[in-house]
Amino acid sequence: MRTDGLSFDRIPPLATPLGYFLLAPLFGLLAALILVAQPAMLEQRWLGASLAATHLLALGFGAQIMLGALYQVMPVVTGQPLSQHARLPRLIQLLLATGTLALATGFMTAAPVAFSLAAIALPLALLLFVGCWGTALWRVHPLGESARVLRLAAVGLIGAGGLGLHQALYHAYPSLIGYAGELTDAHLLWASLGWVVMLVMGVSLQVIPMFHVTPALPRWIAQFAAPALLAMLFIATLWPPSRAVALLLSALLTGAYAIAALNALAARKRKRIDYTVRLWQLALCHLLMTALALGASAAGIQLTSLAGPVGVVFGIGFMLSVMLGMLQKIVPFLIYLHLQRACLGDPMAMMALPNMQDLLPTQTQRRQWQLQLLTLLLLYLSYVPGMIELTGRLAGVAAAANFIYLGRALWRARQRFYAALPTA
Amino acid sequence: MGSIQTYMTAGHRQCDDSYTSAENAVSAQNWSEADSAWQQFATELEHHLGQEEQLLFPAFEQQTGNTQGPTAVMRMEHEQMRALVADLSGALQARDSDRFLGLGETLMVLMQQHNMKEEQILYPMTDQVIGNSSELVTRLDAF
Ligand SMILES: [Fe+2]
Repeated sequence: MRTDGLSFDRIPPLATPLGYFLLAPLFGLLAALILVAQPAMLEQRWLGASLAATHLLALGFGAQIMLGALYQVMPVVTGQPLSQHARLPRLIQLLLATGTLALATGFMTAAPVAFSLAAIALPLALLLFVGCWGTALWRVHPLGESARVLRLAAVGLIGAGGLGLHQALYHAYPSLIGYAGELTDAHLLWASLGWVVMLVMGVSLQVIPMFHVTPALPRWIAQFAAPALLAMLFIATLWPPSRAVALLLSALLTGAYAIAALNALAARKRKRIDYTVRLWQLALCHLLMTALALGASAAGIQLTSLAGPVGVVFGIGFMLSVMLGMLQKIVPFLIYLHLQRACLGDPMAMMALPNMQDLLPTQTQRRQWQLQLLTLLLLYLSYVPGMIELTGRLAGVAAAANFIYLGRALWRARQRFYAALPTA
Repeated sequence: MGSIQTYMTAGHRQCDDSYTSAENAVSAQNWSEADSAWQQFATELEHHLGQEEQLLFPAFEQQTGNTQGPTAVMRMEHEQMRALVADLSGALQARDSDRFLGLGETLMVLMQQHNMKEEQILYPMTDQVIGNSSELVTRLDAF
């Protein structure tokens, strides 16, 4: 059997994931500032500001973090690292960041040239990244549960990106490309369920039971729920008559996953207070709410006024909570790992190394958790009739504080790394 | 006996459980219980690492002819884990619960990412390359 392609040790240089993580909060901050300026966007999905903020959050923050994390997670979970050749990680990040800013500018100003730029930069970033990721996933052998679900997430990402490209081209060349409203919904569906939920599902299969010492997540998640969810997305997109049924089943599968993961976490054996666990629980409750809303709308219950709140529930309540929780583990661990490798063979230096809690103190994790709760609370209060002008703006301020605090915590961890690095 | 994958994974879970008991006892400042649970964990972990270093890795290396590949990395990570375990024992003796919990979280993450690589890749691969895994499992069990 070939083992030479197998690499447990090609952990990426610290600068690769950390570069993605450090840039992401800036995009989150931009989205928050748009909310401060235009709180009405919380109720109006088609406002330029809503679309700009959504994409700043999804691509600038979410995708940036998820890509950065995959550089670290892939060699651990699958034994296959992503290519570090020719500064590909930096190039991909540059394209992603440029494309996201162009897209947000396009939505704010309706300038076709901004959409054209986004329609070049983002697909390039996608192609390069999926090329690296797909190659690594292709090589995985033997194929574990997580890797199998990650392959589906890669398909989800391609679907979301392809549908997004169609939209961007429509905005860039409206006379050439026809508008298709149902493709916008499909884009949203693929990006949220096919990419974000699928990726979280695949990673959580490993991460939840192992880091928090819980029972294993049920086997049907990888064997049935994940492929069925992707199949439902294909059906809903390609065969409109069955759309409602497919969406209802997607909602059921997503909700069942959320309940199974919550159950596992409730049975965890480690009793210490862990803000990553709390953020997981917060996230999964919001995923369950998303599934309920999706199910209700598929069942024909009119929830048009809920489009805004569901975006908040999914984007802030689910996605942002998962990312915050993961970063609290990944960043201090990565830094520790690199420090320990630098001191290997020198027990005295090793003893003096900061541990994970020194690198990202519990106090900081608690503050981040509180800021996240405050952001969500203010966002919900904005949907109380008549409150949006005030609490919407306040929610924007809280979200801005949330992202600034995250950026500061990550930056401090980075400073502690350089301070602790042996000088020899 | 079953596969290497099943047998060795059960060993990981047992270590996790013992570690968790020690950590819970330290969180509750229940030092006598913490001492005995920690002792149990340290013994179990050392036993598991020994099984791998002395039986499982050599068998894998012999079958694949690769001694510089995955097993070399696994051995290095074992050393990293041992260094942390020594630090943790010191923190426990000093009754320093903050330091113990900080180091413990670090050991836990290091150990789990190590276990993932073994459970997802190395164990299933060893099952495939070794003709008779149940014979190796019997030897591991007698270790
Ligand atoms: Fe090991």
